[in-house]
Amino acid sequence: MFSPSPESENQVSRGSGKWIGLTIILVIALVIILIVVYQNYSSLPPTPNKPAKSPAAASHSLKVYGRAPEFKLIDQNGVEFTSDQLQGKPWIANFMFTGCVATCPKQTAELKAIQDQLRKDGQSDKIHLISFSMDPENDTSAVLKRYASNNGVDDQVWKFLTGGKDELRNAISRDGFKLAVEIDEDDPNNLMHSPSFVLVDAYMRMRGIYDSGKPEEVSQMVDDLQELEEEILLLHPQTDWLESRQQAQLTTAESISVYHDFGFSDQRVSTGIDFMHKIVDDAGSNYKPVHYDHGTGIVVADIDGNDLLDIYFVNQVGPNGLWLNLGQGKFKDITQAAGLEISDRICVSASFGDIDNDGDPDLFVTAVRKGNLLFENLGDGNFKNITDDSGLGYKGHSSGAVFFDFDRDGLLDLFVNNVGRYTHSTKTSKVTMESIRGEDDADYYYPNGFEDGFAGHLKKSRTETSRLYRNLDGKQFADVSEDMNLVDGSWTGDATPIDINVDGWPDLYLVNMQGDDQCYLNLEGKSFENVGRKYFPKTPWGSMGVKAFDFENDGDLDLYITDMHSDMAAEIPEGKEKLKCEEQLPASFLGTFNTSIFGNAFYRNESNQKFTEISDQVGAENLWPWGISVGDLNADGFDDVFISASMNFPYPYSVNSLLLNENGVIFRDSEFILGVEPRAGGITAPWFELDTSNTTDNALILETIQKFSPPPKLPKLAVVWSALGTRSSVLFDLENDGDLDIVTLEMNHYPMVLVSDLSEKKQDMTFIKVKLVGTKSNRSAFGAVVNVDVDGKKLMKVKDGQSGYMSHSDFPLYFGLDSAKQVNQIKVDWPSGQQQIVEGPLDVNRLIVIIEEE
Amino acid sequence: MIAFTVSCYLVRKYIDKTHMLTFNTKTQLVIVALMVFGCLLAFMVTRGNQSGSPMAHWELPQSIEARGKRLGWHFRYSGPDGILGSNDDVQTDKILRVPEGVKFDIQLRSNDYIYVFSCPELELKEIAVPDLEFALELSCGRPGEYDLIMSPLCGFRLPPGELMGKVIVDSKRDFTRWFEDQQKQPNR
Repeated sequence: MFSPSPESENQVSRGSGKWIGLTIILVIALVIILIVVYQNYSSLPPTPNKPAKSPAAASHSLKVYGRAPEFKLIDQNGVEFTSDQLQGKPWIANFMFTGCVATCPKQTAELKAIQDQLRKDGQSDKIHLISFSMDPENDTSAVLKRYASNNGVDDQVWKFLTGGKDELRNAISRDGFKLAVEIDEDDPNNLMHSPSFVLVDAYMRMRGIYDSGKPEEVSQMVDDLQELEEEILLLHPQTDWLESRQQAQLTTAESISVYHDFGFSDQRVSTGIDFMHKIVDDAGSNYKPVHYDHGTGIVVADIDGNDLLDIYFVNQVGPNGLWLNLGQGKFKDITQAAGLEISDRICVSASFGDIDNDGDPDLFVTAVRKGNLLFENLGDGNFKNITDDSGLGYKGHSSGAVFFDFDRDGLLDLFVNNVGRYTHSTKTSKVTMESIRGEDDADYYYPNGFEDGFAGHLKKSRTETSRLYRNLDGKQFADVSEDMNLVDGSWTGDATPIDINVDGWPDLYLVNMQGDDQCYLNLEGKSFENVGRKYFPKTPWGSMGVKAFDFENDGDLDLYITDMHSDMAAEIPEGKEKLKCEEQLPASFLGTFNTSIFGNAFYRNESNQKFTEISDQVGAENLWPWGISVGDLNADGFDDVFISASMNFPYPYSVNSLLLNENGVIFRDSEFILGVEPRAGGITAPWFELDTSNTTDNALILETIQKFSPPPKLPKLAVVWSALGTRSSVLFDLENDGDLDIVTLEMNHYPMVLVSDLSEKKQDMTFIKVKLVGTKSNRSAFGAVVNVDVDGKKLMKVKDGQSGYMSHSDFPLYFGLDSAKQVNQIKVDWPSGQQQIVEGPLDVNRLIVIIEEE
Repeated sequence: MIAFTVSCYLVRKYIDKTHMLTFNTKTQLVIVALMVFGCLLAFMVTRGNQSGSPMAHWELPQSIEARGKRLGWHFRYSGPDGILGSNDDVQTDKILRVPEGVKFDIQLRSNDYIYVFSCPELELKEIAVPDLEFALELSCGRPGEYDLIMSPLCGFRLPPGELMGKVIVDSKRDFTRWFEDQQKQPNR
């Protein structure tokens, strides 16, 4: 046995003291080292396998499984319920029927638990629960109501939907959600449907599919639902200004002396139109104030000769959409079959016109840098690309294009507005907006816009002159800009023909979005002379849309011009939307010399080749306007106006304007009164996805969002929402019921199909539509002036095809006749110079076809 | 004066012995009086410069550049070499400090978007565009701080109350002191 001696004990003891001292020193050193190491380590960026425990990194991103189907069904209260009503909130879908004794009771119980928990948390208004009945024949609204009631369903949150069996089982469950529905052949009463819950985000994208029978999956769905709510970033949340503005306008309704007891409602889903506009990233996640944010056009024409107007939507990131009018307000997508998809380039505008006088409208489409396109209508609804031989394949920054017969030879010539070089030559991006929609990616690159595109007019090297093309033989065109002395380098996006000096030769008014407008006088088809300042000493500095029409019914054409770019100069406070912009840009930027108006202009034609600007007098000002569409919306004989308006990301929302013409004296604001505003589906929509961990590329957006609307939690993948905004519009009688409807082109969203109920509300209303067929003149009869004599009034319209921003349609002229029972006379002044009179009495409420006498 | 008195004493003590370069008492008093007057004059001139009388041109920055970048203004003053863009420049973020009553031509440029250099209180408004240069004459009459407000031209906005920068108008003495301090900064 070993026992240490005292000496050795002492030695150990001394040695221990020494070791203790050393140990203390070492411990202190170690502590210091650890502190240093910890501090250094904690300042390092997280490595991929050791993520920082930030909220962003902690969250995962939910996949996108495609788009949920659109539908129009009936809920348990017997009220129509459409998928449009679901946009803006995430929702959970399930498939059931009340007679089901298998999985349905369990599904209902699970959803009931979610409903109750949401109510308890005060979150009931954050989501929807949607139960699609797979047995709609038995599950009537009344049956569903009883079932809902028995299960403690909150009607506001949870909808049970019934409708057509085929729609519910096939279109919605099988084809839409990709969830099978089968009938047991041996037992037709044995209906087999999916027991899954489907989580759909606020933008109708399927984001998760869960087995309702597995508690852990249901729990995961609830967690994922929370994540969907967190991934929404909204830059400009709606404040109460929209509601207060609505209330303010509604109080003025009684003072409007013209007929306004009717309204518009968005019927897009029931028309079958599911075209969706898509933007490039330069108008979204890579936003810069460049002309990509001007969007695209919308045009109509009767492409197949059945007297029903078909719609062509122009897309920024294709495909475009050609929708055939089937009658009764229904449309069918025939884009691909017609050969008009054009998904390989950024398109801008479209123009219909019968270039070869063969009786059907042909189509010209402008594009950014990849070449404009000309399509010949083959007469059977098919189009043939004839660009190569046409001479119209200009590659640049084209915008609106106008068909008109400047030399009056009976063939439609073409004026193409070129804005100016607003894109880089070498810097490109891939189209990527598809990611937010759950669709396949289109694989091509587009030129990026300059960050200072708005200053392009200060940089001469970016000038791009517009083009005047003479139609040589119906198929081929020649650039005659220089020959005709029409070389214009304005930053122009649109133009309109108008016979300024009433000599029978169509002149041209060009809207300049960054400077003085220009007006070119047509010298009998031999040359043009710029008379802009002579006729219009001052014009809007930032002109965008233009339309010539007879505001007062005094027999001459007045001119309405919208000014969007001046509204960029300053913040316009609430309540100042109807006033001219007080702030002005520095003179060095404007480049005009006391020749500018900073807001919309309305030039009253004084009938002696003089125009007087009276925009404030007639109430023509509005905020963030784009294009103008004119038509007699209340059919009282005076033309009314629809102005598409509003920017999108990163700007706040602005309302579209509907101006009722009060007897040719003043415009009355009526967009709220007539139901055009506020939009049925809300004023915001998802705009782009944002990787919030990429703080380099997305610094400005993140900074802006944090400053304006800091979210409680920033997910790694966020969806940035934006204010909606209309760019272009067209007014026509969509379902042939005698009143004018409005179809819009929305940036990055579905169009609005605003159907009027005027013909139902005002049953004694009358109208007449005049379709012109030129023979000596161009067959589309662009440039023809029509005077209708009715009840002692003379209504005058010119057929110029103008409707909306950058859009040139070919449609009959619509005359509202108030309640006149007959038309006394119709006089047509054809572009050929021939005058033709159709004597009455003529019956009303019909389409009259007038063929030019040989 | 002390030096002169000491000198006189030393001269008396050592040089006077040689009867060279000596002054009588009256002459010495005149010389002292002249020196007192000279010192006072020099003192007044120096003080006068500091309190606002015209200063030598070389003491002010020859050029000032205002550059818009990421929703803010960034300023650059030329240093002693009078050349903008050289190593002796003084740079500031969001604060344009200028002396009262001195006229400058501010060179306006932008790195990214289009901005308006806008100071409503001083009635200043000019544009800045990438690749282009605009000049803005600036002459501020009274000391104070003035807001450079955000223009919405670039699309993005700042929330109410946030600015692209400020103009601070100093007295000439304060400006000179500040400018000299800035030039001594190692990473100016």
